Amino acid sequence: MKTARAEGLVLCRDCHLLVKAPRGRGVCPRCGAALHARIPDSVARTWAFVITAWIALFPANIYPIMTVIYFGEGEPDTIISGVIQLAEEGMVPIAILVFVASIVVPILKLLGIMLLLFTVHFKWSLSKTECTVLYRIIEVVGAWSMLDLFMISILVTMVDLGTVAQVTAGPGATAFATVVVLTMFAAMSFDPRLVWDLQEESND
Amino acid sequence: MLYGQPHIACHECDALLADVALPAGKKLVCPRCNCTLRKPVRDPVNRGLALSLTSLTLMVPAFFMPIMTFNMLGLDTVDTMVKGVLHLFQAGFWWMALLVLFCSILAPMLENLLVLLICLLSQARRYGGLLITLLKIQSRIRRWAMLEVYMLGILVAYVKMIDSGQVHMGIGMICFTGMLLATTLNTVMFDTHSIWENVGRYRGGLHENRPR
Repeated sequence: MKTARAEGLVLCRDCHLLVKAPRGRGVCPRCGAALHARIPDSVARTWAFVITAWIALFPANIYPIMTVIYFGEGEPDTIISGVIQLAEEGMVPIAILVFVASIVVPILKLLGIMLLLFTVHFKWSLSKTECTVLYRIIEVVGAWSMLDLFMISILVTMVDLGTVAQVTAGPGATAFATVVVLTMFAAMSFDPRLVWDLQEESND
Repeated sequence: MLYGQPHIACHECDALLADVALPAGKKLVCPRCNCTLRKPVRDPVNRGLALSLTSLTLMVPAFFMPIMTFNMLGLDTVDTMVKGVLHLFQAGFWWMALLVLFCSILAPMLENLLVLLICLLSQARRYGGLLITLLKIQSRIRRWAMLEVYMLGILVAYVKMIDSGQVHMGIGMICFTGMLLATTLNTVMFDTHSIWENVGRYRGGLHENRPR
């Protein structure tokens, strides 16, 4: 299958107009966006976001994300202790939901992006179709990690009864918010066409 | 051979494909990577107008009216979307507050506002620089609107507190659900391709892959 780049064409990233590849720098004649055959420095940028996200993942899981206090008593909860507590109270489906959204999704997302990055770097001969499916899952699933943060913002307002019951956020939530943003930027900066470029190279 | 007819390229795998006119309701899928390239809808401008007006109208009560009320020992607290953000700001969690504000309030609002303006401008045939800028912002902001996740957050918060006291869903919840549906439909059905084509025609009959 022919690719646009092999035919000397560039797809505008903003308006998806196919134009002749410019010599040097060029802009899209329709929308004025800078033209690039591939996202510039895609691999390096994605690595930067991935590594930073791994670092931020530690405080996000070690520090408490929220504290629920009833009558002056209550322990701060980390992400994982919150999940365990939900499970112990018999709310297993909700516990699984929170576990998947706040622990499984961020970690699998980072591992998935790393797999794509390694595939591009070491020219692994993985199925291109499956890599693309992985990329799409990573893109779609990213937003779901916000679940815990939205829940905290609802609980701090809803449970605000002074000494009777109160919910406060913790420093882990700040780190977790950073993880979510970084993983989203990582997914956005990765160019899935790089995976397909490997096929062109092996055909030559 | 290539310049004989207009071509398009897949944005996920760069496959070069011949452009085809696509009737509404059909979708164009990349034969190599299976990614949906285009999915035209009937009357995209009017649909966009209707859906973004619905969303924007429902947004005001959804943001400011109570989503849930929590009652414990005769004490009541009311939760609204805006109050949730303000609370986090006051507690010093400004970074998290900003993120929640952006993903649950600002991004959905901006997205609908942008679709509304884009539809109005294209109906008035003003395919100038303003429309181009708005289209670009709209495509970038879309992924930050996370209303469906917020909905799940409400449900998890509800289940978490239901044993400790009484939780009642408020009028804001109904408006939120309606707004979520309208915004999601608006995101899924907004067909920017036809608007970009009109922009191209306005800007001097540009043709796909016309040599520069």
